[in-house]
Amino acid sequence: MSFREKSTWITFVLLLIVFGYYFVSVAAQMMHPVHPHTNFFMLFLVLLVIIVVMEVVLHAIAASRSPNEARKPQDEREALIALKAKRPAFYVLMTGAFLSVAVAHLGVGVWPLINAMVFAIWLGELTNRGAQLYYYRREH
Amino acid sequence: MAITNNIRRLRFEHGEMTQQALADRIGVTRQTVNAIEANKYSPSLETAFRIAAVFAVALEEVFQHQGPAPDPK
Repeated sequence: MSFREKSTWITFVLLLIVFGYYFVSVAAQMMHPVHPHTNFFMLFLVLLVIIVVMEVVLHAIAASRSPNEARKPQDEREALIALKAKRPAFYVLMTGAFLSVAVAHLGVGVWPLINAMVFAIWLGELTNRGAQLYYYRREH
Repeated sequence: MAITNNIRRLRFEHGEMTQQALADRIGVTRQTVNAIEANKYSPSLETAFRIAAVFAVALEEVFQHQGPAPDPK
């Protein structure tokens, strides 16, 4: 497995787990508001710090295992894969953006609107990384 | 894919050159050389010429197009 593919796996899994936890927490709170004063902004910030730290640590480990590859820029096939993966991710992001506008019209307040937008960005990035992994595996 | 290649044979004929060695000489990853060799990825013209240059052969000796001939009109 190339360094870029490892890097894509790292980001995909971290995004899935860390922000997956955040959105499951938000959804649980919306359906069963047990703790109405849960500070989701603070939770979001903590998870953001966690994901940045984990990205740095895991990428450093991956780079230490293949230092020559990590130092080189992406090659033409990797660049093409990154480009091809942008297309489905764009459609997911745009759909999410329009649905966020719909959420704004429901008059639910600022925080649900922000969550809807972040959810759209999260899904778009998951699609981007997921599509890259699909192309890496299919063309391996 | 309509484009096939003889890279595996050429590597063998050049002292059993590894995919990694070829990759290093043409500036791509070993996985990309593997994908080219398996006809799963068609390289850019620049990379195709670099591969031919490594083996010191003409481009046609490395890559062949298997599709129908172009319409002469």
